[in-house]
Amino acid sequence: MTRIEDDLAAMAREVREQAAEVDVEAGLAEVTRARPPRRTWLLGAAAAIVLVALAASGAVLLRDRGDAHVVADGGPTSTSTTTATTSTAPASEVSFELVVEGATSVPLGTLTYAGVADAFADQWRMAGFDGTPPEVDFDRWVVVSFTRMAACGEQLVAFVDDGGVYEPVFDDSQRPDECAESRSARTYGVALDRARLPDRFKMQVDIGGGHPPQRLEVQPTSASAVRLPTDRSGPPPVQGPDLALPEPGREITFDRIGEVALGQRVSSAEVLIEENPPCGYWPRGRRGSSHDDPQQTPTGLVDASGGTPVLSAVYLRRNTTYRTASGVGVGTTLATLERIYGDELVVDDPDPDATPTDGLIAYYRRVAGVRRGDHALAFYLRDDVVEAVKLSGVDVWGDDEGCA
Amino acid sequence: MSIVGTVAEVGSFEAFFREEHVAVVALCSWLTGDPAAGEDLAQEAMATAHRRWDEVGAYERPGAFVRRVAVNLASNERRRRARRDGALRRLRAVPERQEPGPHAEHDELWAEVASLPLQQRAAIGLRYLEDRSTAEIAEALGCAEATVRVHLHRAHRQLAERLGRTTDATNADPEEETA
Repeated sequence: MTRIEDDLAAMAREVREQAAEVDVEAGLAEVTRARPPRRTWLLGAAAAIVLVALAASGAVLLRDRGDAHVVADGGPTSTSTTTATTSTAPASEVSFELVVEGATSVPLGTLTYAGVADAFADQWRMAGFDGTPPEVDFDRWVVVSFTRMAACGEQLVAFVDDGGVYEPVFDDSQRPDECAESRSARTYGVALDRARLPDRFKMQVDIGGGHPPQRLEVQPTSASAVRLPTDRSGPPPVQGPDLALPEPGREITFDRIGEVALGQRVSSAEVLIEENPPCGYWPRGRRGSSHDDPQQTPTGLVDASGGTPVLSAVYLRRNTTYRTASGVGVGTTLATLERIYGDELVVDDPDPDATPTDGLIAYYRRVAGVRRGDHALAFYLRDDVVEAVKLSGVDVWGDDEGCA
Repeated sequence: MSIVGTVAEVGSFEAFFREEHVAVVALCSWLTGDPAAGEDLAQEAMATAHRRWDEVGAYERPGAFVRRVAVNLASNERRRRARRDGALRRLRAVPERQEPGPHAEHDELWAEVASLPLQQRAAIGLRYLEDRSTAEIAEALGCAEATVRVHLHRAHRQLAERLGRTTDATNADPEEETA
């Protein structure tokens, strides 16, 4: 009879041999590229790159399980929902089953509903989950999903029905110390019992990252639904002129926004790299930086994949003084964009059937884009008015979780 | 085998990673029962160390830190998977999940190892994968050496009983023996 110690030693040897086949250098590159060390570097005034500490990281809305009572507010940039505090009727819990939870390829803020298996399969593929979706009895259940910025260790603990608005509730009190500050975009798929659902309800999700809560109206008798266009409960859009001349040094071109240029080399002494960018979802091979920008200056996205950190994108938000030579900037209407850029302009809508670039720019909000050579400008629209501008290479002109 | 690297030995995160990564991948594969998942888990554990390298790099044994993170992450993943599988079963969704082993010839042993409590599984993993001492395992798991001895003892006994093997572990718990 053999000893268990010998069996374990043999198995361990094989596990070690298999582990030895991993590509250590690739792993190292991935870790150091994707998750920069916590390090505060000097802000480069000359570069005018303002990469702001993550105010939104504290904007976690804690709710008591079951009563939708706001316990703690994250501070000035948090966007808490108002339904809980304005409703006079007590909120009640909705029973649910967590079908799937994981990192995802869909944009932050995506909300979906599936009432039939085919729709669920489509949404499963859209999320980029591996394999086939689990079998769900859709005679009994419907599946809603949402993608939000989740803290490490955060748990979905309840769904509350607050006057017909269904909202998931998360508990982040059990975060492991090792990853207490880590956040990432995660998709949750949740099954709700049809027998307990009304004919129509709204799902509302605080998606984090300083973004306004998102809503999806659901009719459980329908086959599927996608997230409604941008919620109107967030901060009001910036009111700027439709067209205006740029102020000195504040011109938007296809190479730069003001003093911040695409491809600009970034020294380690110039950039503050946040380990938990509020947007947190970057094109593969790039590492992100915070873009919350109260000083309303252009911000840069750092790409260190080639060794030397350079700016792969420049963002401008809420500042109406930066303009193209034609006068386009924050506050310009879609109609004016169309008049100025003509056929060059493409507009992606949240409607999956109205994304001429197949969602390359965006498929979760209305974004207009125009390209010149290898560079592109994307205009993020709200109520058909530009509220943010992104300059980037065409290869990454698409959406990156509403960071702009 | 030397103790998990010290600051003086590792110097930088890059050196630490190169020194430790394969061993951490092996441990994570052992913990998850899946080489691919183990590699992902090891990456996540290393990323945690990287994010906090200013602090972790100053530890006497940062390798112990990253192993403890790996065990905690494996524990979280196990709970998450259990919740999900339970929910899916209630939804009539998936059959019972059979945790795969890294090597077919060890499937029976692997299944039994996988059924062990995570701390026991981690303890025997550190012992057999890395030949760690009881003190080193205790440091990595964040528990007392006596607890490690109990974990190792019970794991050996359980595996031997279930698989019809002999073991050097005695019938009495080490804590009882030392009491």
